[in-house]
Amino acid sequence: MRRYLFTTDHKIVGLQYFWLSLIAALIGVVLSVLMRYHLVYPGSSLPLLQRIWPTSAAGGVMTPELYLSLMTMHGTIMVFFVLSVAPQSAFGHYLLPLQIGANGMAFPLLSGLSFWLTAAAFLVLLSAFVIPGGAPLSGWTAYPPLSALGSIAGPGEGLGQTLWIVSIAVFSVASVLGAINFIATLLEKRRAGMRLLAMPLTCWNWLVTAILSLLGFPVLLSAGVLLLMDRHAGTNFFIPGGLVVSDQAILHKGGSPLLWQHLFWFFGHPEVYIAILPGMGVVTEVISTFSGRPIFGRTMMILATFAIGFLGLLVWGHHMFTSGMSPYSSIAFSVLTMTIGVPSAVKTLNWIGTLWGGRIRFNTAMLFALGFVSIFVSGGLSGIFLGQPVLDLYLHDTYFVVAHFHLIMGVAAVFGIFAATFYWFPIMFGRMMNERLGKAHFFLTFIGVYCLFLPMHVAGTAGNPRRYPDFTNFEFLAPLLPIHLFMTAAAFVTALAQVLFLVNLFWSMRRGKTATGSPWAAETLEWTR
Amino acid sequence: MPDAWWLPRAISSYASAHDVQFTRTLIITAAIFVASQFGLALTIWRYRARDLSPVESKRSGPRLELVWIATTAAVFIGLLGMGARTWASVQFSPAPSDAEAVEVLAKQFAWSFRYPGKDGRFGRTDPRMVNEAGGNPFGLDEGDAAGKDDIVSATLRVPMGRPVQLTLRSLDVIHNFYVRELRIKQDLVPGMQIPLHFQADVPGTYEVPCAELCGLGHHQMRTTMTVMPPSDFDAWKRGQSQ
Amino acid sequence: MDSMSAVELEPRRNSVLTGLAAAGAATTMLFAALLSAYVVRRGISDDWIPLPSSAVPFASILPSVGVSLLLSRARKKRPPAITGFLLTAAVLAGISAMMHLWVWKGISLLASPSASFFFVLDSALLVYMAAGVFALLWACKGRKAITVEAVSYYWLYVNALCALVLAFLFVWR
Repeated sequence: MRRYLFTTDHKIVGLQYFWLSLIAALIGVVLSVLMRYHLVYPGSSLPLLQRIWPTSAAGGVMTPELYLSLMTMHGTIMVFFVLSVAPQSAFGHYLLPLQIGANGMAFPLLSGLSFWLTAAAFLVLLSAFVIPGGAPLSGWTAYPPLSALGSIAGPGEGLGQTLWIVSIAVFSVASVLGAINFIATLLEKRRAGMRLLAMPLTCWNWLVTAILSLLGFPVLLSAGVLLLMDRHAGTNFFIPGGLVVSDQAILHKGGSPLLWQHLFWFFGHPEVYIAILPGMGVVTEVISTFSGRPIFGRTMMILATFAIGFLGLLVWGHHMFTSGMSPYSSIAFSVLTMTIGVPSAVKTLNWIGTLWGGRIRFNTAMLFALGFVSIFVSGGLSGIFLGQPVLDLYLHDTYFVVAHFHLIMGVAAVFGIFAATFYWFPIMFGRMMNERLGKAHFFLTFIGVYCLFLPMHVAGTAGNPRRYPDFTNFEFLAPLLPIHLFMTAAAFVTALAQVLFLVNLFWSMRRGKTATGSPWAAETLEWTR
Repeated sequence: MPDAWWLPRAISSYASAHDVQFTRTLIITAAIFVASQFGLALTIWRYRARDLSPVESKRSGPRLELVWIATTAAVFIGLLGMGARTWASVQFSPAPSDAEAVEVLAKQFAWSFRYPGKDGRFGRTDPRMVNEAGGNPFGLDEGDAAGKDDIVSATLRVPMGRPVQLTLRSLDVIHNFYVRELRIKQDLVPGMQIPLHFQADVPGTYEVPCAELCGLGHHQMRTTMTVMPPSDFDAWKRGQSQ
Repeated sequence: MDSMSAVELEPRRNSVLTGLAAAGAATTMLFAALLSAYVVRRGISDDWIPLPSSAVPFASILPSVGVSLLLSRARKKRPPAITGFLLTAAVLAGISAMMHLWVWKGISLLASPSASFFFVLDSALLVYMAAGVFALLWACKGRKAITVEAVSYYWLYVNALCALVLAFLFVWR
């Protein structure tokens, strides 16, 4: 017990992060299934809900505020505790030292500390579900004044919002500590003779991800501190004057809601690259291994990774085209945003280039890597619409945006996690995962996510707003219900299919075929240790 | 596919220009989608492992990469440029001076609209005088004569074929005014007064949802925009300002 | 599967310095965010009252500059003599922090947005100064050359940061 509590062993820390993100993913999926169910059956009663939330689900019927708080927690849990944990902190801690021939991370103490801070942040966040008032309803983006005014702005906006901010602040500190550890390890702990350029692509992606974390999370932390002060110390960073909420005049004045948006998205956009880059690294290595060919355009891949990281720090304003921001800023942000499609296209070309002329073996890891490429292209293409202000003025805050980011983050990044799990399972658990179950899981999931998210673009094109607990108040939304029913059905099936993964994971840990040596005939160092 | 499963009808020349750019983007992205998914499938099929199939060790050359970079950059930036003028016409050109002025006020969870009345001037408002139940959602200051003839309405009416200049305000949190048929939306930010102008050319009544999460009633914050023949609109205004 | 589980006792110099540089980058971003917010907030509001001009904040830099001077001397010395330098430096750092807190007494949080920023920025600075004191005491305990070197870079950075932040708060106002 003590061993796990105070460990600084990078492998155990990696596993701790892995299990944390798995628990978070399960919670996140359950929340999303509840949401999808409510959207198509808004008045229906689910007795289980009443047991958990007696006030906001009286009679088992989900209230709008409960829906919005589930949505807020779904987004927060998935973005932070799944996508900012598994790809980087879980697989990174475990595999990075192995891949560079180091005997551990540069600062083992930071490994343990960053995990426990992350775990603490997770518990603080989850506690919002059980405190009076419940979880916040302002979305994972927490825009003030809605998030700054306290419970007068809505249920969950009291203690729940405060817990949310504290959780994110602690998570930010944990992430920065982890980033420092990763950067120092990658730059200084490579075994003698491994030049930087010889580092595996996974390591390059972990490096750029760590740099983005290093630069982005402090900004989120500062925004969180300012928001806490507006809420509890009476300051006016984000709250302007002249507000009247529920017939009560608010005494704050002089602040700017847009200031929060700039600070938040300065972090928030690099965050999505933090979520996807490690997965891209895994996909690159997996495709290369199972095509039997070296990575096509290896140096370009490394340059493209840096280009994505660098440009990723400059495009945050594309989340703010309708915010009231200066149109001149919009021009600059949109040009940079369209530009960031170029290194992504380079990566796609190089993945296909690696496959071309190869001898492709189709195991589960490879299937998820190939699925990643397909989904990444699909999700990226909707970005071409959204990056243009003229089109974004129509599509912003509709289901078109929800489709876009779910394809890239909710699917592609998760495919990266699946690929990494199957690929590195032999190292992490000494056994092989079951291929039959793995392939069944892949095909059901691949078809399921396309059924779920492709039609969502149609709903968005029709102007279906997002973050609506139900669609009963607008005539133009009624004809879209069949699409939503289809998506809910797809969501159910896809969620159920993940059981195959869980079964495979836990069964293989105990009873999987023993792995020896380098089961995949891969050429990177982790297989030789 | 039902009509309702796509862009609703465009009711302004701006909306039509938007749809041209939307279609352009759709064609290009659809082409890329088909080409890349098909290309991926073809590659996987052709190079699936069969016994004794050789592995070609082609190396990438900088030329292929650079051509690819130049092509994708040209397509993405070019596409952006093609839509730029349309967008700029909304964002950079001011409304014509004879535009119909309307003030929009959003609050949790209702919309209010205000017209300046016969004197052409908006009366002063004060948040302390906001009284929803008493019929004063804007908080019109009784002491200001200019406000006496202001027309307050829960729905938006605009004259067909005439420019309209909205001034968007919020009383509490961020909301968003979204008219699908105009293809525009704009956040209403507390502490800011944000202008938005358009010209609607097709009569009818159009639903207006709120498009920025504003609390538990976000999905219920509904109003309508009615585009009326100019004579009807003028008659309505005259009838209102008694 | 036999991996290192003990904390490394002799971190290589490069790792420490790289880690320190990374931490410096993160800290720079934290203060860059707060200072940008400061500049923006000052620009948009009509309720801005500049902070009272005072020499005390700048005087507080003097002891902490003293810390850096002592550390640069300490780096040239051998272990037994270092302790004296480090402990004196810790005392000076404490004095500097006290002077910050003295300035706190004269400023009321809600008087103006400038005051709000002062408290946020100065609290952050004090956190870093406290960490710096802890680091000085830690260096006494271990007395390794790399630790003293790292702590001396740390305090150079903290001094520069303090000067910058105080300039924003009390000069540019």
